[in-house]
Amino acid sequence: MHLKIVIIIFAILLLLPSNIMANDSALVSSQLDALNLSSFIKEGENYTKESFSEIDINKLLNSAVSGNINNKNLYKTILILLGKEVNLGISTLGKILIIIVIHSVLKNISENIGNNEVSQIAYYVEFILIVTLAMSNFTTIIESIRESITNLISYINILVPILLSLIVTTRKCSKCKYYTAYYFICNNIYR
Amino acid sequence: MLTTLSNKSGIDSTYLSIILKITGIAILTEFAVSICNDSGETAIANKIDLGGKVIIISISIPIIVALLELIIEILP
Repeated sequence: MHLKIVIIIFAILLLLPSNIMANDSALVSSQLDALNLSSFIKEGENYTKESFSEIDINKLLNSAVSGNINNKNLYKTILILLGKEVNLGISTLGKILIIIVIHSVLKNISENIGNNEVSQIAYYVEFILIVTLAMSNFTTIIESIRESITNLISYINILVPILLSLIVTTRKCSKCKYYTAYYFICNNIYR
Repeated sequence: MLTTLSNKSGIDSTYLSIILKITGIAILTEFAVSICNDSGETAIANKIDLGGKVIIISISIPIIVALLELIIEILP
């Protein structure tokens, strides 16, 4: 019974997180050089330049290692990006509304012609135009989503080696939260 | 008014001109068909109807092509 309790306490102690921050900047930089993380960061900057032009990932990583991370700049950039997306959505909505107004005017004219096949064809052509204009807006959205997904996958592929090297260096492979990294690696190997 | 609206919203004005042309042709065709029917000339009315349809479809080709191009663009 006592042995069981001791084992449980030992297991809990093993699983408890312990945050140890490095204060010596020279030591941190030497460790980063030893892990050769700078090349990964440089590669990663190619994907973050467009969206996070103001944020230096190297500085961010160094500050994260020493525990003095400043997230305000990151949050500000995310909010600006969100604002841009909302603005784009509103403009798309405005375009669709204008198309609907034009369509309603033309539909009113077409309805007054009569219910002959000619007027029906004219109405269908108008309908095709509305679909075309609405779809052109959605095409740009789909393209931007496709591009961002590709960038995200490439960025994750760059992050996996960094994460692996950090796991190996810190020797905390048993922690549950690192299992997501294993899933990523397994997925990449499988692909 | 429609041109101003289309320019403000970034819609191509050529599409708008095509739509106006189609509406005008439809009105004229319908008018001619009803006159021929009233005067008892149903054969001529049918021919005018067919001619109107052909003209409308030939004018609307750029719109149909634009739609098809968009669909091809979306497809992977």
